[in-house]
Amino acid sequence: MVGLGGRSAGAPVVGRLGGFEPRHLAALVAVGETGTFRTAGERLGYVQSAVSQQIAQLERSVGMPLIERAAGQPAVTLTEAGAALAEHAAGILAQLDAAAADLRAMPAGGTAQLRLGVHDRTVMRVLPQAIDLLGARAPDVRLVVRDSQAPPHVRACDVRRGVLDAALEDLPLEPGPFASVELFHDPIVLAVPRAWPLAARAQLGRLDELASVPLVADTSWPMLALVESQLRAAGVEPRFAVRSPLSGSVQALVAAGIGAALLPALAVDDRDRDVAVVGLGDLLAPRRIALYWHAHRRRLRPVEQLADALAAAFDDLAAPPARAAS
Amino acid sequence: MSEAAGQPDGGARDRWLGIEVRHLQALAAIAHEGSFREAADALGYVQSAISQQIAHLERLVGVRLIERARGNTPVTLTPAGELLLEHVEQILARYERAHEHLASLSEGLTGRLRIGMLQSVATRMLPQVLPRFAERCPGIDVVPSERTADTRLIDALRSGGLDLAFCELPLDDDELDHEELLADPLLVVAPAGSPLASGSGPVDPAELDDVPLIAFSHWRGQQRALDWLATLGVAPRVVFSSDHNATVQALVAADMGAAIAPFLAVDLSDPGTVARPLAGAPARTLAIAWLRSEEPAPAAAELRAVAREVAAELAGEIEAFGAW
Repeated sequence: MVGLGGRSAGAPVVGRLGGFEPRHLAALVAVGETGTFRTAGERLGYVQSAVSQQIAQLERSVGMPLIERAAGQPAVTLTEAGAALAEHAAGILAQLDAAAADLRAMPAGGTAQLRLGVHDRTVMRVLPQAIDLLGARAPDVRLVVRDSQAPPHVRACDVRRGVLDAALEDLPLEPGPFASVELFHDPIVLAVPRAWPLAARAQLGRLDELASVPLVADTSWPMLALVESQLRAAGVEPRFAVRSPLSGSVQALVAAGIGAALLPALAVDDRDRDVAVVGLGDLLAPRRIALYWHAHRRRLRPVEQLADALAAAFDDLAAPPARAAS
Repeated sequence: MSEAAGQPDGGARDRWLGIEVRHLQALAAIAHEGSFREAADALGYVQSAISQQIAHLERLVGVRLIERARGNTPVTLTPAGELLLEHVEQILARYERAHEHLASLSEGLTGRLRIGMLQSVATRMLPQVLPRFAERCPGIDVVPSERTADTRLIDALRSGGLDLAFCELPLDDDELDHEELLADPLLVVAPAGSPLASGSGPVDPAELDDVPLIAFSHWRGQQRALDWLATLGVAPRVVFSSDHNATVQALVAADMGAAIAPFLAVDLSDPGTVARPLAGAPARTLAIAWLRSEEPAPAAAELRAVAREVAAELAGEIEAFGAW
């Protein structure tokens, strides 16, 4: 055994370092990320003086300055040693978070609870089947789904802290101690007002056909920047009829004839009689949906079972083919 | 939403941040020693201090971690305690890495470089790497160690037991960085005088169908090679497996079967066996790997440079053999 846990003789190395505890490390990480003692204190829920005291203790115990203070300035930066320690500290704190999450997820009375964050109501199309599959294969796992419109970094924080055991998200993921499995490629399609002549098309052959199409775009959609840059790379300057944070109402605007919208196929409600779907083949990169979780967690069997169930459910879901108007 | 998401566990996280290293060490020591008294001896505390630390830890994490024993039976961890222990070992290893890293920053070079490798690398690369490195960095003590499986090398890098390791790609570990060294082609090792040994040039994979095979038990590339053969509809029969390169080759020489081995793992001077390239087989890629969070010590960079030179020379040898 390599860790200190295996030492059975002599005083442990770390034990000699008094002020080198997780709370000191949390203070260092917060100061490094926020850049002032005051904002670090706000994040940690301490007063500023408590943060500077913890940093001072940490510096005493490691015997090196960790923070550089510019005279008369509230902003501080990490020294080389401070930055090095902050990186180790982030790993230690991530492991502590994973431990807390693992203990909280421990089966009580034989039932393991698995809390899944869902990024987008579109995946509700596969969830019922995935839940059935999981129930059949792992009856002792109870899945709790949390649907939220929150941006990806909020779910990432919840996965890191163990508020969620896993989450569905579009790739790429936020940086963090995460492991993931890619589940589905969801092609980008064009949702078109049914009344438009364009609605009669099954598929567009070229992106430049989009140059003259007024578009409705949701700026809170993380993939929008990628879609726009692909259009521009193809020489198409998109014409936006509406470009604002719309989330749920994009399709309603399309149905009302305001414009067409580029959307992941699963995001289009295909029961809507006022909207037609025109395929784009692989002219635009698909949205890639993945399941991710905290890589330091130890009891991941239920998460693996969930990943299998979701993968099977996604496999069964053929991407809706582009349909011509009937 | 962003605030609300963090709130329900805010108090719990604050409690967890109250955990101190000595609490974690107490849990690890009890698991390791089996009693409070021996744990106390090992850590240099009195027994009541250990009991207090565990009680404190249990309050902070909110669950029982230890089944209190009656009489002389050894204490055991609860399932929650076992689960936490797995994390505690990781946390203590991470602490030790942080500590060593800080020590190296304050003292300059640590004066010690621990390198791990597979047997084939130990046999073929190490004898050339060590003297050249010693010439350039005479003050550095190199501690080499050998593992039969490179998954163990990866574990040792992650837990801080090694500074550098010679591994096969892919590493499948995003905490590690690596640098490719060498494409090491696969050879078929056959008993001298056997039909497989008699041909010239590369062995057609089809010749391996139903051939008895001596396998390396912990070599990840073994399964990859078998999988590759399977895609061609070729299935050798594994009749024996061993961890030791020399044993595998001795079993081949004893006419027990053939083996598939990377160039570096084969002793070409063995009169009992003949080695021929395996036509079309994907070579294994040897790389040198290290933990990304480590500040690259100058000595480690120098060792990597020496490894690159030696690998380039071996690549010449491989080319001369005609496998490439």
